[in-house]
Amino acid sequence: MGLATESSIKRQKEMKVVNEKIKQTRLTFSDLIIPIASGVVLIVLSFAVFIPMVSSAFEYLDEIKVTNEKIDQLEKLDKQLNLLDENQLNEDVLTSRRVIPNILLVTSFVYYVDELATDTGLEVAKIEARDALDGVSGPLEYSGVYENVIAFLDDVQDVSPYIIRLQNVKVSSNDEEVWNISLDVSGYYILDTNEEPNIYASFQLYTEYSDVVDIFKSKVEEF
Amino acid sequence: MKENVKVNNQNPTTNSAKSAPAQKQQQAPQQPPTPQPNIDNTSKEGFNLIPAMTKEEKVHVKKKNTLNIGSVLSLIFLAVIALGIVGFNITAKTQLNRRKSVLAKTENKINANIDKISSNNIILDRVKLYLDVKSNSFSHRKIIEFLTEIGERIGGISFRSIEISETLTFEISGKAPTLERLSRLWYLFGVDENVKTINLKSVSKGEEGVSFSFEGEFDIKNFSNE
Repeated sequence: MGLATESSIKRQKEMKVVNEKIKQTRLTFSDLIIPIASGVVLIVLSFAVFIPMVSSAFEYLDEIKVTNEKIDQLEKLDKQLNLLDENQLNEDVLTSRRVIPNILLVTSFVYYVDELATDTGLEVAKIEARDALDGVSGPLEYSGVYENVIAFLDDVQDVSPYIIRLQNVKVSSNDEEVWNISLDVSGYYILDTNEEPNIYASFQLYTEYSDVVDIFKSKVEEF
Repeated sequence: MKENVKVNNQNPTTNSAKSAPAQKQQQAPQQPPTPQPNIDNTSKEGFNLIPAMTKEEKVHVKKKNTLNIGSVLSLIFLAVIALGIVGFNITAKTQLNRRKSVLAKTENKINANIDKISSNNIILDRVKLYLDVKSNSFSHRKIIEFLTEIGERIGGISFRSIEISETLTFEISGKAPTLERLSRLWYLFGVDENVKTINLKSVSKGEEGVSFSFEGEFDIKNFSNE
């Protein structure tokens, strides 16, 4: 009887020890605190810091891309500018400004056209001129012999130092000798602005149009 | 608690060793104490009375170790993520700042030559205007000479008025000696490559001949100023 109670006590004690062991190895809340806390911190940081930082980093990358493009563009522009000879450039500016002036006075233009007509032997019938958008235009009427009318049409377009556009040309004759010519003449000018040019705007070297610049030079010689 | 367990662990062996002589003492209390069998030897080797861990217990222990490692790993992961993102951000920002400083230098270099750009643009604007005006311009002289030449080819044709618009539409009127010559003129206008369209607008026959007026459109190809 005594042995039975002793063995049961032993067993109980052994069970107690085993239970203690099991308790020791069982997961407790304290074991999960760090992973849960780090997870929560990760989530909070993600929304508060990481996501804004990553998005701003991507914005930086985009900006780097744009900046690199701008640098490439400016380097290309710099190379193009180095191709221009400053003295020649200034000379060509003066030439082109004489052909298409900064401002074209109505009186100057009409005076020039009228002088051209009288030089070719035509007589004035009507002169009207006014300021128009980026130009001067007006109806003109002259009369003269057929050859002079033709010569005037030629000169006013090709020989004129100004850039001139002829519109609504009407040539008529009442008899075989005298021809009347009526036309709308437009002369152009470009009002230069004092604004500094945008260095990022597309740039083209004027020397690509050297043939036109040569025409300008030949027109200037007509003055 | 652990101390208790230790005590308990030792007790069963000592208790069992001690309990046997105690029983014998109870049975023969008057006998002199005899030397005890070598109980110490057995107690040195010991009996493991704690049962071996079951599979479940092992899993529990493993789980706990894993979770402890997991917490360490989660902290490392957090730190790596934080460092990675911050590093990425700083690197990108630094790189951007470097490129911006390069851009600023290049801009300064270009701005030093801004006059060249202005002068170039002044010429270029004028060149473009010239080309624009020239692209749509045509020689009125060539057109008038073309009409006169056709009239002379037929003979007896005289033009009274020639009206040419900017879009190359025209209206001409004149006189022909006969209807036959007028029809020939009409035919020549119709087949000539320089005339796109031709329409005999009016015709009248009188004592002095035939009066006519045409309207149509020229082709700029052969009259262009370029």
